[in-house]
Amino acid sequence: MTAARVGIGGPVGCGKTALIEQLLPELARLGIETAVITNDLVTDEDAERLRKGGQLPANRILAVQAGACPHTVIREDPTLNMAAADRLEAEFPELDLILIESGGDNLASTFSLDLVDWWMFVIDVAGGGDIPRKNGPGVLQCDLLVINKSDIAPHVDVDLDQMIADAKQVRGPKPVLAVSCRERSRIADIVSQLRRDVIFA
Amino acid sequence: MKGAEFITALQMADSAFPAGVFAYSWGLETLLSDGQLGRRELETFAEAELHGRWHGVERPSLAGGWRADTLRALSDWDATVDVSMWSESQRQHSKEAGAATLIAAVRLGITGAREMRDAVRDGQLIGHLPCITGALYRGVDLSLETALLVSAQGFLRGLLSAALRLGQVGALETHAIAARLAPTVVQLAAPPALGSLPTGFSPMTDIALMRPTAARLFIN
Repeated sequence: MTAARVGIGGPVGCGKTALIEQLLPELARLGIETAVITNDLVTDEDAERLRKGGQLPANRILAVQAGACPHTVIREDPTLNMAAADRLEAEFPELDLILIESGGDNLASTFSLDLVDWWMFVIDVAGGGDIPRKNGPGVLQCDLLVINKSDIAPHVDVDLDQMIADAKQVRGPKPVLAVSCRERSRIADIVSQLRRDVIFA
Repeated sequence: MKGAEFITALQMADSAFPAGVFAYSWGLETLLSDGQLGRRELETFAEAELHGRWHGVERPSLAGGWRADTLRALSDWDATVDVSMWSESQRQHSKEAGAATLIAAVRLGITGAREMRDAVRDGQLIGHLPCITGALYRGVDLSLETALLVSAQGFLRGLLSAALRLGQVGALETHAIAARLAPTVVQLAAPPALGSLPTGFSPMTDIALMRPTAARLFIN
């Protein structure tokens, strides 16, 4: 059996790495063996941040550099990521889940289904309450849309309820979750979704 | 070249062919950031790399991969290419790019790809990019002459597209450079004599490739 491969994409600064930092302890608590691949636009900063966090052994975190093309490395040509995931599976056959974090890109970013089984797209309220209405492929096509930084919505003049309603309208039946990585709110809901749709699917 | 081979060559030469090579600048990013190279020197740099690196190193390495009749012969040749490399970082990058190429080739069902991938996993084959590429080009029925032309043109395109993404040159200028260097590509892509060993001389990039931390956007 191979590990499930889950993509986490989204614009720069939306909180992808912060989300992974919150997901890892929850996954560990449930006994889900996890590894992470980061796709850094510049050097391997995200991977280093996760290694320093100490939530996973350092050798379960790999960095793939994206050659100035954060969308290419997860969409048009995901072979470097596929090779990295294969390496992790060969080294850690007990893995249940490999999280693949994209480099920060724009709303058009999507994951190749050659690479992942399921993917989530992260946006945040500080990026603007109108993001869902822009109909970016990332927002529309992902399996789960995460709206991060829900705690600061009032401080950036965003009507969070309206933002969620807009997201649900453009996505139809596909799920939307508003979370706050800083306040650790609703992280367990993401993990529940992951377990239901991917790990035990 | 017949129609079928021509179409296959176009597919293998497609810049969108998923083999991971877009993430490498092959030392260019480091040289630019160090000020060793300026945008006006891009064409002469590319020409020098074609002569010093592709012709001397990639060409015989790929030809040896293409000529290997058995997995054992490919493994022996691959080991020869391995010891001809200057530095560990070059060796590592070549193996990583080879592994990414094999991922695509296995999915596409290219003849011999699965056996090569399994041999790399089992430690029977190191899997350097030019050796793997040569064997795969033979697997898709490209002649050696065509395989070398595809490789040389891909090498040049890789350098130019990295320069483009680094903001050093415009797309039209990259094609103008590629057109001016086309005769050089054709001239250099002649098959090497049997048994020719990799012998390159490109000291600027050899040093740049040994400085992996200097690259910021590309693997190196």
